Amino acid sequence: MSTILSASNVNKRFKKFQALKNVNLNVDKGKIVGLIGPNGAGKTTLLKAVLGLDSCDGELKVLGMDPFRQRANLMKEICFIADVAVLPKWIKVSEALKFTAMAHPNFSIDKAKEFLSHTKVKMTHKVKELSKGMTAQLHLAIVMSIDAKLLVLDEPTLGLDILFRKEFYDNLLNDYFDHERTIIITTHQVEEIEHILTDVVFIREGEIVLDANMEELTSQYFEVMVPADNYHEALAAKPLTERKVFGKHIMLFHSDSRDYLETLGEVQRPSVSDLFVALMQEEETA
Amino acid sequence: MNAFKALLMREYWEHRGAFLKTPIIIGIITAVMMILAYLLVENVNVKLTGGEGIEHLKQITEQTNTDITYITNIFFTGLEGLFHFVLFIVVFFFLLGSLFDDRKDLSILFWKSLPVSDLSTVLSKVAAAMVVAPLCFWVILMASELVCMILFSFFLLFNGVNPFTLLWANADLLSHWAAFGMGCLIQAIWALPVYGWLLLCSAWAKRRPFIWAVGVPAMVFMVRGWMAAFTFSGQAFMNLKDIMMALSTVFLNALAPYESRADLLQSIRLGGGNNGLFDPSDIMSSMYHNVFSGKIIYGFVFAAICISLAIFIRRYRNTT
Repeated sequence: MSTILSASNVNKRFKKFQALKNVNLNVDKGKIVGLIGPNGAGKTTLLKAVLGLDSCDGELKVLGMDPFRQRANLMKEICFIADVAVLPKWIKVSEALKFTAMAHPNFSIDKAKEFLSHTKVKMTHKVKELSKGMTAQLHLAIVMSIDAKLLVLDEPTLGLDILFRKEFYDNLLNDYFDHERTIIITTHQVEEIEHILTDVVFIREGEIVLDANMEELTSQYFEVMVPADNYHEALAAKPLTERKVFGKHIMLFHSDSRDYLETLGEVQRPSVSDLFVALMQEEETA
Repeated sequence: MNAFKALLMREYWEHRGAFLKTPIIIGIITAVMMILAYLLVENVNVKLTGGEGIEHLKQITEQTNTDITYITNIFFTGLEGLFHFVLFIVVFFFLLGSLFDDRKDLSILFWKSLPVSDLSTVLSKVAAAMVVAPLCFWVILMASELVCMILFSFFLLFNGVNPFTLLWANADLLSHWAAFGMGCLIQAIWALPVYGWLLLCSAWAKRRPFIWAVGVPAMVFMVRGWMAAFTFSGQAFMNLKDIMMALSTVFLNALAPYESRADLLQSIRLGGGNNGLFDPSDIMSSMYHNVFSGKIIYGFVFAAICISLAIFIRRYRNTT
């Protein structure tokens, strides 16, 4: 499998603040990676380095290129949505498509028009006349019509309502993703994307605290509903977290096998967001 | 190349209002003023002698067709001067925002997500200032002058004068259009150092590029002035004066790319003794001679430095 992105010992400093600390990361072709972390963890800093928008120290290669030095070239193979608000307000939908068609060698304007025909976005609209959700649809339509090897989405659904968010990811998965492409997504709404991810990367204070694929994750982390009787026994097994719901203790364990845990109570697959919270808290107490 | 064309079209789309509507408004105002002037003059004269102005015109022009050539030359040269002036103002503010506005509204992230280099982005702004905007103004100027000619023809017709033999045969419209087109080019060459400086400020400023663009030169002059004052050095004052003179030459030519403005004003005051000055071919040759004065190379160098710096900043610093 070919490597799309490789970072080794990537560091980034803003004056006194160390935004990225020795980041090591590899992303292979065909993955959908969720880059998840609290506010200010360095997600956007990392993505900016990947997109060649900002410099960084250490070795960073995207599609074999140094992103900061070869940004314009790299952008033929990468596309990204940084935030829903970045399309210029004054531009008309038709102009945005025409511009992209002329500037981008791998853009198919017919595809974009086809995507937009399923939405309320009209060719004559200006971006400032569109709602937030429609702007996101337009941006997604542009990006999905680019035949790119890597798609980077930084909080693509920020500020959209649940209907738009669901549609956004449905479109992405059904109409775009084909295992030849690679997608990196950052978001706070982990629950909504966890079913589409193949890999998760947790980042905290500039460090990568977890880099695993979803299968690994579900074979190593377990959520157990412990009845009151088994509470002390379960505590002795050192859960990562525990919370109490309707008289039962829900505990999260890191374990190699689920056999023992099943004697304690009902075992479930933990959600990525619970796992995220647990790992972030673990780091804090450690 | 295709990408560069796309960038130029993008500038046109974004600034259609300034590049196209501004000259259209000037053209409309000019035409309306012509109509008002005609109507008002008629109202004044109607009780006295009835269209005396036109009658008078008819009499004198029947004697000398050169008078009508002179009148149209003055009128069109004036309109062209106004267009040059407004063009500079429009381009001034266009450049000031050109590398700043998209950073402010974060749309730079969209532009940078496309495979377009920062070099061509900045150069497209230069080309928009030097070619696209002047071209828009040129087209509208031609249309405006044509409308004025047609209006004038109607005024003549209403008063029983044949506009074709009197007006169209004597007004050299094509030369005026050529003179304005060339004027735009000369103007762009003169204004290049100013344009470069504006691009640099636009790329540099974290907010309010106008303050940088105007404030930095003002500060430099103040400091130089004080230094000269404290050292009681006549030489320092002379240097300052030279810089001021050079700068005002640049600005005057950028605003109105004609030579011999002083002669022009003089001749108007004297009642139009020197008809030649308003002749388009004379205007063109005066612009031409003026611009290749050797010292203009300093302007080019300064512009090149500013534009290179703007590209560098855009490339390596401006990400958000």
